[in-house]
Amino acid sequence: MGAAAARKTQEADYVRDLGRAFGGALLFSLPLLMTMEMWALGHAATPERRLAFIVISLPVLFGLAHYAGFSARRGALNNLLDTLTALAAGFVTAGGLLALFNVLDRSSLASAVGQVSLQAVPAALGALVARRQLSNGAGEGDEDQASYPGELFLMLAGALYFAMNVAPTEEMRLIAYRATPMGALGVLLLSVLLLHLIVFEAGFAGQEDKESPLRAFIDFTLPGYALCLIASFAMLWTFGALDGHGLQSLAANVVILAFPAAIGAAAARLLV
Amino acid sequence: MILAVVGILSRAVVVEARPPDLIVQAESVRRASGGWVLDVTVVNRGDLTAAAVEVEGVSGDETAHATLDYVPGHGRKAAALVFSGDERPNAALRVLGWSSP
Repeated sequence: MGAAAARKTQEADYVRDLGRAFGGALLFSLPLLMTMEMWALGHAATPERRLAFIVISLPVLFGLAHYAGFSARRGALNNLLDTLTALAAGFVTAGGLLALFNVLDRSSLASAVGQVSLQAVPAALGALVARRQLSNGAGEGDEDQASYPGELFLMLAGALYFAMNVAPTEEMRLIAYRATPMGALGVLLLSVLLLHLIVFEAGFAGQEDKESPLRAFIDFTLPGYALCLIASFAMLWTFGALDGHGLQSLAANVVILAFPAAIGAAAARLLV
Repeated sequence: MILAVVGILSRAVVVEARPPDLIVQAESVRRASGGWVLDVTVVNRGDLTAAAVEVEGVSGDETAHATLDYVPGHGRKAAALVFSGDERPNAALRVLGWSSP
C-alpha cells in the first residue's frame, strides 16, 4: 500500500514537472513563435548552421538543467533526462503552435523541420528555467552554491535567455546600421556600466561583503560582458545576420545585441 | 576581445565616415528553368550602410532587376538577375540607387 501510494505521488510529481516544463517553454518562446523573421529563418538559415545551433545549445541546456531545471531531481542522469524532456517539450510546443498559427512552410519537409527545430531550442531553454519562474517561491535551485565558472555560466544563460527574443528581428540590424560609431561605443559603455551596477547591486551569493566594486568589475563584469559579446556573435551568426559584413558593421551589430544580452546576464539571478 | 571591439569602434569614430559606394560584380551565369540566372555581388566600399539597393542588368533588349535590403559598409551581398532569352546573357550591370537605412 505504502509503495503504491509513493509511486502515485511520484507520478503526480512528474506530471506537475512536465506541466511546468510546457509552461516555461510557452512563456519564453511565444514571442519568438510569433516573430516573422523566425519563420523565414527556418529555411533561410543554412542547414549546417541550424544543426550547429542545436548541437552547441545542448551543453547550455544541460548546464541549465543542472542549475535550474524543471524538476527537483538532480544528478547527471536526471539532468540529461531533463534536457531531453525539455527539448521534446520544445519540439511539441513549437511544432504545435506553428501548425496552429498555420505558418509552417508545408512546401517542403526540410523547411518545416527547420522552422520547428530552430524554435524548439529557445522553447527548451524556457522549459528548463520553468522551476525558477513558475514554482511558488521555493528557491531550491543549485545556483546558490554555484562556483565561479557556474556564476559565469548563469550569466551566459541569462544573456541568451533575454537577447534571443530580439536577436532574429530586423530591428537589431537597423539599429546597428543607424547607430553612429560614437553611438555604438556609447551602447557598449552603457552595457558594461549597467551590467556592473545590476550585478553588484543585486549581488552574487555572498560576494558584496567580500569583494570591492573593482574586484567584482574584474571578476564578473568584464568576463560577463565578453560572454555577452560571444553569445550575440553566435546568435547573429546562426541567423545569418553577419554574412557579408565589414569589420565595423559586424562590431556594431554584435555590440547592439550585446546590450540586451548584458541586461539579461546581469539579471541572470532573477531570470534563471 | 572587448578591447578589439572598442578599438574597431573607436577607429570608426576618429576616421571620417564615407557614404556608401556601391559596385556590382558579375559572379556566374547558369541555366535555370526560368531562363538564365546571373549571380551578382554588390560590394559597398563606403563606411555607411545602403538600404533598398536596386540593381539592374541590361542584356540586349532585356532588362532585369533585383533589390537588396541592406548592403553594410565594407560588406558584400549577393543577388540574382534573371534573363529569359535563349542566348547566354552578357549584361551591363549597374546600381540604380539606394536609401539610407
